[in-house]
Amino acid sequence: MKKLQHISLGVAVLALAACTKTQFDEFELNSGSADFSNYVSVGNSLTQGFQDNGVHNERGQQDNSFPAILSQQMQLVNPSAKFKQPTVSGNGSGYIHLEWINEEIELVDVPAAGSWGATGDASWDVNTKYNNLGVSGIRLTDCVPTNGDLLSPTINQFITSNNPMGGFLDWGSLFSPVSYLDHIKASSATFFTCWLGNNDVLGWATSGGDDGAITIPLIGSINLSEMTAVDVFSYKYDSVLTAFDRMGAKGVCATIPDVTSIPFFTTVTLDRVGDDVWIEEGPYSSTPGNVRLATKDDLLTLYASQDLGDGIGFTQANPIPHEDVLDRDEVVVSQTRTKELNGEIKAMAAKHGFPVADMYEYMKELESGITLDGVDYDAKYIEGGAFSLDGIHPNNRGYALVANKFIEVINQAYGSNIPPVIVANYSGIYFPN
Amino acid sequence: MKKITFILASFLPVLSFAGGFQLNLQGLKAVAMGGAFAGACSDASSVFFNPGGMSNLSGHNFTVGFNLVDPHVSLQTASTANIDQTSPKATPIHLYYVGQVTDKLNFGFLVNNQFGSSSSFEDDWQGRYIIQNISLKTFMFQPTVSYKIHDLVSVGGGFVYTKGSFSTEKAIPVASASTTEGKAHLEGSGDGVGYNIGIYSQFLTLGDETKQTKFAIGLDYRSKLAVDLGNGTAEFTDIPNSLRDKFPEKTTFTSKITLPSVFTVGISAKHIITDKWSLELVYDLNMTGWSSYDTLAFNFDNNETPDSKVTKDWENVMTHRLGADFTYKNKYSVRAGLYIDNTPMKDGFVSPELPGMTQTAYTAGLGYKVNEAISVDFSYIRQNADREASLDDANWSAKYKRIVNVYGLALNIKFGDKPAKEGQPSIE
Repeated sequence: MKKLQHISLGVAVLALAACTKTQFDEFELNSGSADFSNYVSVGNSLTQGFQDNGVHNERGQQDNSFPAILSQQMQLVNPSAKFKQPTVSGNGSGYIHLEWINEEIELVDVPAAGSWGATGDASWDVNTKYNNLGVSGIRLTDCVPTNGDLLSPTINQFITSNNPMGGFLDWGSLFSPVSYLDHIKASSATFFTCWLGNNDVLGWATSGGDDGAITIPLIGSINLSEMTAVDVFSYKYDSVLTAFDRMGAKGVCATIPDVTSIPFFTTVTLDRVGDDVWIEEGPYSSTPGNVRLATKDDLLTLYASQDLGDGIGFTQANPIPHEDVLDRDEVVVSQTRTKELNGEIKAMAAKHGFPVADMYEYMKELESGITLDGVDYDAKYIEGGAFSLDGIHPNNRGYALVANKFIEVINQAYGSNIPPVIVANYSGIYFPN
Repeated sequence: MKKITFILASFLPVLSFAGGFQLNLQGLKAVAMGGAFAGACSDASSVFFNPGGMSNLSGHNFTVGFNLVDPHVSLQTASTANIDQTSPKATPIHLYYVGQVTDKLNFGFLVNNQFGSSSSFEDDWQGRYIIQNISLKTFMFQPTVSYKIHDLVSVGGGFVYTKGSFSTEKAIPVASASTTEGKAHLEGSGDGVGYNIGIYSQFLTLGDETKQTKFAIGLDYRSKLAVDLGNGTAEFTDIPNSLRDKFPEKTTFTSKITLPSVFTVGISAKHIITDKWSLELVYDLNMTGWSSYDTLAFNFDNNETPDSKVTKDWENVMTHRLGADFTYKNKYSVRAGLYIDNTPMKDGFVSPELPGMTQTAYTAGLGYKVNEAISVDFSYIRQNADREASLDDANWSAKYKRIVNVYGLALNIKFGDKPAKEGQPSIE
C-alpha cells in the first residue's frame, strides 16, 4: 500500500518534471489575398531610403529603406519574393554625420563617394529591373505628363534626367522622353506601395516658400519647387493607380505628413533661441520681402540655426533670409495644400480599392510620442530617435516604424499576417565617440 | 548649401526597472500541502508561519532545508514567435530553530529567503531596453518568542531583520560607430526591519486516547519590510563619449524596495488513530499587501543622469492554500495540496522578467521519520500557467507560458523532548 503510493507519486512527479516545454510554435504566415512575389515601391526620397541629407550606405542606411524592410518581412510570408534596390556604395550622394570636436557634438558634411556622379551611383544599371523605384526629390507632378500640356513630357524629362537620384532609370531624351509613369507601367508589379506627393508641397516649404524658378534654354522658365495644383495632382495620382490597377496589382497608398510634424521646422524655436529674431517674410506673403519680428507661428528651418550662429537675425537690418523661414502665411498655405492633396490621395485610393497608410496621422502620433518595447520615440531633432540628422527624413528606426505602419495596413486590408519588425533592432542616431 | 548648426537639448532615455517575487517555500511540510501551515504548526517552520504555534513544540527542534527552483518561461510577441528566458535555477534556503524554555515559553529563530527572483534573457533580446536580467535576494533573520497564555491559546512574536540585495541590467538606446547600444548595470544592497506576530489555538479536540480529532486555528501577520538601498552603484558601459556626462562610467544612487505584508488565517483538522495512522487537512488564506510595492524609484547622484521612477501599481491579493497529510504509523507521510494564486499584477503592469499569473498550482511531498530524532521531508511544486498581458509604460505586450518545478529537501532534528506530544491527549 504505502510502497504503491510512493511509487505512483514518484512516477507522477517524474512525468510532470520531464514536461517543461514552454516554447511557442513558429508563426503560421500567409499572404491573404495579396501576392508579394513582385513588390514594387514608388515614391520619393522617403521610398529611396534617403537620410542624413543623402542616399548613403555607410552603415546600411539605404539598405534599410522602408520598402527594403517591408520586403524582408514579405519574404517571411512568401520566400520566393525578390526585391532589388538601386543601392549606392558607402558615402553615396554624401551626407552629414555627428563628430565629437572639442568636447562638443557637431554636424559635419561627408562628401559623396567617388562612384557618385551626375547619373548617381556608378553601379546603377538602367537595364536592371529594380523593385524600389523611389527617386529622391521627385514630385508626383514630375512623374506623369500633364493632361493637355504638350510641353509637359519634355519638362518632366528635363527635371528627372537631371536628378542624379533617378540615374538608375532610363528617362529617354528630350525628344523621346520616358516618364516615371512609363516605368511604373513596365514594372509588372504584383504588389505596390505608393508614397508620392510629399515634394509637391515639401519642396516648396523646405525652401521657405520659394518656387525655385529656373530658366531652361528653348523651353522657358519652370518652377522646380512650386506646389502642385490640386486638380493636376488628382489627375496624376489617378493615372498612377490606374496603371497598377490595370496590371492587377494590389497595394497601399500613403498620405503626406504635415510640415509642422518634422524637426526640420520645429527645432529652431524662439524659446530655444531665447531672443527676438528678425525674419524676412517669403514671396508668398502679402508683402514680399517685408522684414518683421518672428512670432511663434513662423517656422525657422534647421538651416536658420547657422544664420543665427553667424549672428544673422538679431537686427532688423540683418534678418533671417526668407528661404530659411516658413512664415506663418506660408505655413497655412502648405498645411492647407497638404490636406487637400491628402484628400485626393484618399479619394483616388478609394476609387481603385486600395487601402491608405495614413502617414499624416501617424507622424502626428509620433510627434506626441510613441513607446515601443521600452524605447521612447518622438519627432524631436536627434533626441526623438526616429528622424535622421537632416530633420526631414527618418533614420533606420524611423523607417522601421514606417514599415510597421505599412504592414499594419496591408494585413488589415488583405488578410495577410506579415509580422512587424523589431524597431529597436534598427540603428538610430550614431553619437560620436 | 547651408549647414545645420547642431542644437542638442537634453537626451534622456528613461531608465526603468522592475522586480519582486515572493518565495513561498519556507517549510517543506507546508510546501507539500499547498503552502498552508498557519493552522497546523507541527514543526519548527512555525517560527515563520505562525510564531503563536511554536508553543506546540517541545524539546529542541531544528530544520534545515533548501529548494531547487527550476523555471521555464517562454514569450511570444507580434514580431518574435518564441523567446525563452535564460533564467538560472535558484536555491532558496531555510533554517529554523524552536526550543522550549519553560512549559509556557518557547524561543525560536529563523534564517530564510522570503523574497527573491532571478530572471534573465539573452542580452540582445527584443525587450532588452526593458530588462536584460535582474536578481533580487533577501535574507531574513527573526528571533522569536511564544507564550502559552491559556491551555488552548498561545501567542508569539518576532523581530524581523532583513538584508536585501539586487542587481539588474538593461540596454540603453544610444549607439555610436563602435557600439550598438549602451548598458546600465545597477546594484545595491540594504536592510530593513519588521515583525512577525501570530496567535494559535487548538480549540477543539474530539474523541479519546485511541481515536481523536483535533481542530486548530491560527492567525499570523508579517509586516511589510522597507529595504533601504542607500548606496547603490550604477555603471554605464558602451556609452558614446559624447554622452558620458549623462551616463558616466560610474555613479551612485539611492532607492528603496518595500516588501509586502502578509496576513494569514489558517485552520487545520487532524484525525488520529493512535499508533496506526493520521490524516490532517489544512487550509490557509493569505492576504499579501503588494500595493505597498507601488513604485520603484532610482535617484542618481550624478545630476545629469535621468532619475527613474516606475509606477508598479500592484494590487493586494488573496491566495487560497489547501493541503492534506496522511501519515502511517507516525513514520511515513504522503502529502498533497494545491494553491490558488492571484497575481498582484494588473494587465498593463506585467513585465517580461516576472510575468505574474493567476493560477492553480499543485504540490506533493513525502516525509520519513528515521527515528525520534531525525526526519526528512521532500516536496514538489508544479506551476503551469499562461497569460497574455501588457506593460503599458513600455508599450510592451506578449504572451507568456511558464512552467516551474520546485524540488525541496529538508532535514529535521529534534532532541531533549519529553514524551512525544503527538498523539498525547491534551489536557482539556
